[in-house]
Amino acid sequence: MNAWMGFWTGVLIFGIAIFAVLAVVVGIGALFDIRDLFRGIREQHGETIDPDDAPDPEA
Amino acid sequence: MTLKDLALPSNFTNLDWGIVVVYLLGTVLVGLYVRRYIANMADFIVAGRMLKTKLALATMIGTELGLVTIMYSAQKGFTGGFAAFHIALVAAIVTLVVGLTGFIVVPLRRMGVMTIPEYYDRRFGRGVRVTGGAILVFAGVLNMGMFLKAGALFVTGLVGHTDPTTLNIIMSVLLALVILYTILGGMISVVITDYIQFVVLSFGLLAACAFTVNHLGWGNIVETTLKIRGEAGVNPFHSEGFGTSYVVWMVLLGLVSCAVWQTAVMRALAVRDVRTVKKLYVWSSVGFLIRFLIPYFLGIGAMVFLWHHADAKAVFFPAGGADPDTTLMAMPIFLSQILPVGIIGLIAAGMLAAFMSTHDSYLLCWSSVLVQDVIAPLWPDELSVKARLLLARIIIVLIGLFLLYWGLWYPLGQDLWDYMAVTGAVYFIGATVLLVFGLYWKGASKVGAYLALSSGFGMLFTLGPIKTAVERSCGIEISGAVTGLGILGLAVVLMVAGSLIWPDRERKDRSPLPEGGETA
Repeated sequence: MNAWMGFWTGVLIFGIAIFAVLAVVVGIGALFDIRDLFRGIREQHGETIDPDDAPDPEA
Repeated sequence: MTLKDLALPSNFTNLDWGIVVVYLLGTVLVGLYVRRYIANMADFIVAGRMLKTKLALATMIGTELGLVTIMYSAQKGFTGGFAAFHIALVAAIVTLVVGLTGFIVVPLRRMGVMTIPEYYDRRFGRGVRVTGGAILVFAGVLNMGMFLKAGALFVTGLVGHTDPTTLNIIMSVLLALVILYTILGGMISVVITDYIQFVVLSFGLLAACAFTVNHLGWGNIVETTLKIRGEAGVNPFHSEGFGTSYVVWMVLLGLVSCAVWQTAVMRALAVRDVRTVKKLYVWSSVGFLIRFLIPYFLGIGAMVFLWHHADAKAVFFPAGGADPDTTLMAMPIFLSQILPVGIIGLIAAGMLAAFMSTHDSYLLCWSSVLVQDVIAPLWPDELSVKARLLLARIIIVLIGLFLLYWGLWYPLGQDLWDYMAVTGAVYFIGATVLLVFGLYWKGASKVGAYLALSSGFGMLFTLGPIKTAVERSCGIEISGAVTGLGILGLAVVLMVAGSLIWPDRERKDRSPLPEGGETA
């Protein structure tokens, strides 16, 4: 087999294998991150006042 | 024989259409549901800066693994063979290096900016921000101008539908759906829909690779590629294929794709902290590898399949080469022949969701930049959050209308990837120089920044129709890669010379904000 061809075959197999693992890990892990995202945004909105809506201190 | 006369009945059935419709409606409903979490501009643009690594990774890959990416990459695999893999490998290595070193993205995140032009403001002043923002939006909108065309060609090839009017209507409806939920939901909708698309498309593409090898056989794929493309089909440095200058150009594009291109950088700016930025980039290198690698492989599969089909061979391998619109159709036609009923519907749904996901990210990105970096700084009074959100939404609709016009009527005239690279370069050549020199050289000045930014417009000469006209009138051959590298060199020279001759009287403050940066 051509040396370049052997190299690209290795790259393809490595890429697909690592991506398959990553897809499973990220697919499951991101679900928990989504839960935390919504929780965090809810807390942020509850605890802070939007700067544009805040009263002008110099007024 | 022409593409229209080619009789290759698709495996796409009504069941597949049903899968597509249910999937797309479900995605849009989710996008609409999460709109209630939008309270300010930071929620709209960077999801309140609350993204953790896995979700940020899913949304980054989800955005970058769009239908358009798959289409232009498959076309490169078709025309370049295995040698095209070098683009994927270079992109992955460069992204990994950025992740390990934090080059460009970490200082940007520390500064707490939401967009790259906002960084221009901090470093070079308001004028550079407005100019840079306007150039970014111009190049960005032009860059996504071919998205609708790629989507239309994909649907045509996959479902075996040849009526252009029907396809234009389908694409217009899809665009309308994207605009609707981008306008209403902002970045939070984008993040959630990107996640769904990431899951479906990741597994769909892996399945498509398995079907390709199963249908064609690995030995046949290798043998036929070498027969059609010769050594240039595996060696990226071969002069009859890509060549050395093209490979060097791809190194720059690899850096730009992950660390300079606004839609990718927005993810880095949306994550919780600097450590997450680095982790995101290290793991994204796998995504950047695969988003090119798998479509290249599918393009190679299409090349092998169509070569062995007598009628298709006449259409796709004519003397003098097939035109870009034809080679773009190769991968979807190939998939329509090898994928079974049900699987083809799922992959079509995933691809169309990818099409919508890329659109929503880009629409959101360019409208945000236009509001935050061009209109707001020029507005006589302070623009309220409400006014900014309204403006961003109006601009999304206007960009959508432009895309309908440009995408369906502009003659491509070159590989889609090269069109993307050229239009993107109008912005990223100047941006790369401003980021690198602004972040790492104290002497970089405002005049140097203006000069470097303006040099990017030289890339317009390498756009298909303009390039052909210039080549005909001047009798010279213009290479996009050589021109791009030359203009990058010019931008560097202009930045250095401009900064040395006209240094800033007082330096802008570029000290990073406390962790987290500004919030609205």
